[in-house]
Amino acid sequence: MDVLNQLADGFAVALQPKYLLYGFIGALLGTIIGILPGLGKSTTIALLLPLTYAIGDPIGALIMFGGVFYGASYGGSTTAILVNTPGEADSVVATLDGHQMVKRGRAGAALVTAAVGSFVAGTIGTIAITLLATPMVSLALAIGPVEYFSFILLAFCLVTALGGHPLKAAFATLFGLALGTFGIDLNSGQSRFTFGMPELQEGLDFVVVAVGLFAVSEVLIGIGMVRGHVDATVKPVGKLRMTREEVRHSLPAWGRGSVVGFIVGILPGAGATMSTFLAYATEKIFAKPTVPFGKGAIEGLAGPEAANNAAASGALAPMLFLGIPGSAATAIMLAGLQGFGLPTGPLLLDEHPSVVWGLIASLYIANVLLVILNLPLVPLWVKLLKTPPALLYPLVLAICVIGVYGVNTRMFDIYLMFGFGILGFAFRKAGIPLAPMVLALILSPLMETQIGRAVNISRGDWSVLLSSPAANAVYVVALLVVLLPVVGHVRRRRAAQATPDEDRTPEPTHV
Amino acid sequence: MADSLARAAEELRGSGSPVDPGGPARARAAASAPAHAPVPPQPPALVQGPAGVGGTGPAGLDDEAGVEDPSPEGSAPERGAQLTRAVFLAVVPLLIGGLYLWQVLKLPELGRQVVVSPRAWPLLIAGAMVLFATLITVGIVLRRWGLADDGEDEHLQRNDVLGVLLALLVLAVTFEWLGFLLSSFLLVGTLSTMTSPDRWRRNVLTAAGFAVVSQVLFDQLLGVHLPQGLLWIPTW
Repeated sequence: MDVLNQLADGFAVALQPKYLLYGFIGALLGTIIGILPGLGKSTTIALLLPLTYAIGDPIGALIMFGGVFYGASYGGSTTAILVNTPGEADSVVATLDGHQMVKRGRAGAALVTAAVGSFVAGTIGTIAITLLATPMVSLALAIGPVEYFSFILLAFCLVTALGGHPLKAAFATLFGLALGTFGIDLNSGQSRFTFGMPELQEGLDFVVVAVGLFAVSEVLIGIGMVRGHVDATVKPVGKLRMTREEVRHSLPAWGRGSVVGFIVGILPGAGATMSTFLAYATEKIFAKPTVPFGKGAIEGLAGPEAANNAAASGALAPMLFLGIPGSAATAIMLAGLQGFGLPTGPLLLDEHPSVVWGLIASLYIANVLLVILNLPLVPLWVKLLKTPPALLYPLVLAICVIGVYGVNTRMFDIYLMFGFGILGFAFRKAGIPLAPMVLALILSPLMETQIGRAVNISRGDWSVLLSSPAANAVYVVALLVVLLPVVGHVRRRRAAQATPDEDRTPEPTHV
Repeated sequence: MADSLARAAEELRGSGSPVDPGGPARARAAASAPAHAPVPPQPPALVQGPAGVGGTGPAGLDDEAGVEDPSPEGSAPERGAQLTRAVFLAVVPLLIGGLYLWQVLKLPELGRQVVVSPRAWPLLIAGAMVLFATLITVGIVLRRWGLADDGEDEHLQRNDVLGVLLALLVLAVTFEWLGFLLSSFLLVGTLSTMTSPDRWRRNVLTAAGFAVVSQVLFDQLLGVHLPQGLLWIPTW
């Protein structure tokens, strides 16, 4: 009942006209960036962050980011279905059956199932966050610095195991941790890695690094491909309607997708992309053999689309209640909270309940807004698809300059942004993932603080990090997360070596 | 990026099952040319970029997919890209790790007692960085673990990328002197005309409109102070 009262307070905040406007702007922007290539959720939130500092309202900023977060999933699906070109990585699976439905003349049904599925999943996900809020915060307040450190370590291990080639993801994580040590050490007051530059006394500005790594690198790659770009052709959409049969097939898929998506979304590093693949695999398991997956099966669209949105809710839970972001986008949102001077972690709900419940309530509202926006405005989104990339990327770059210069009004940040842009470009070409780097950058000071606290309490005894049974259990899980892929690889190799050549079957591909 | 995602979608459809395009499928997937993009087929790049951490599986360690000898069917640009990636991975992480470790060791000792030295956490990180960077270098040299197999391999117009870098350099030098209005107009106009020279009128008009609208919106309305530079811009 207390949760319901708090949620009611949250609605009282979120339904204020100015916050409704922020939510609408966020949902609209999110849908647009989901449709357009070149900008993802993380980049958009990073660009919006300095501008929201100018507005000076943390609740408004968070509500806008929540709208962007959900809206990007909706928008990415629209292009995936209509044009067979996903606007976001989370929407790749939507092309498998979604675009096939368009070819069969069921474009309207495809868009409706995606929109309604996203609405259902977003609602389920938001209810789940509502229910999880108090238990997660209670858990977080009950644990000490050693346990907190172990959870962050587990998050990093998951990100490393799930975020690309393990060795490269591990290096990216460590590089991010290293960047997080720049500036003044909070324990001792000592300056570290400032190279005599006063601008680095407070460390590397997260927004500058994120915009450089994601947005500028995307522009470099995008502009390099402009000459090869061919405009998308869009088939007519027709009536936005589902048949009873299609609804009957979609309903259970929406439910299953929501559950899969939310659980996967909570895991740091897993992300909405993985949730959509898992949801697709789940639908194939539950479906009858006659269901034509890959040829326009509505379950193949409904499940992943629900998972996509539910994962967005799931990702918000650890960020809001534990202060541990699971993706680049939530890491940037966390940086935004810190930039507004708000405490992150369990204290956020404790000391600023209106911020958290206001955001959760606004997610309900954003879901409704997005269904209203997405379906009737399909013709507008189709026009947006024809935005020439030759214009889009230079505009994105100019917006990056505005956003970054607005943080501290100094050229140093522009130079830093460009430097990280080039670095991000090089890393992407080399296959070194950027998201673990950004996660580690934001969590590095927190990790160091927790270690410092633990070792201080034990008066210099570093073995305190192994003194908690709960933390030790988490370390074991973290080790398993890292080692299992390696063990699996070794076993597959041994099996392959033991099998005579003529009996070998091709290595199965799997999620 | 949109073309990369489209290619990933084509690859998934071709395999008939929900494969993880970041895994072994990527090594085999490049054959099918996407229907609407004339660039050479390239492995997709789902894991990279703003979408966040993607869902690649553990197949990065799979030797069968990870042998770095380019396949006989691989084109010269693909082999060149793989070689460049291999050289980068063999050198740069180790260089970064080594530099960081060197800087950590240069941190001065405090003259007073602290329980946790300011060197402690960076030293842990530096040690781990050097370890993993060494493993990457060993993996590249011994051609194990498929380290050079994944990466964003889109065929880029090198001159256009260099053009962007040059434009950024000019912007960095002239931004405060010229002011936001003029420098953003020049940036957007120049870069869009570089890649789309036949639509220069559209590009110039868009650049001018963007510069003016942004100046009003951000500087005047939102209070994000942008440099005036050479122009006098009235405030209200």
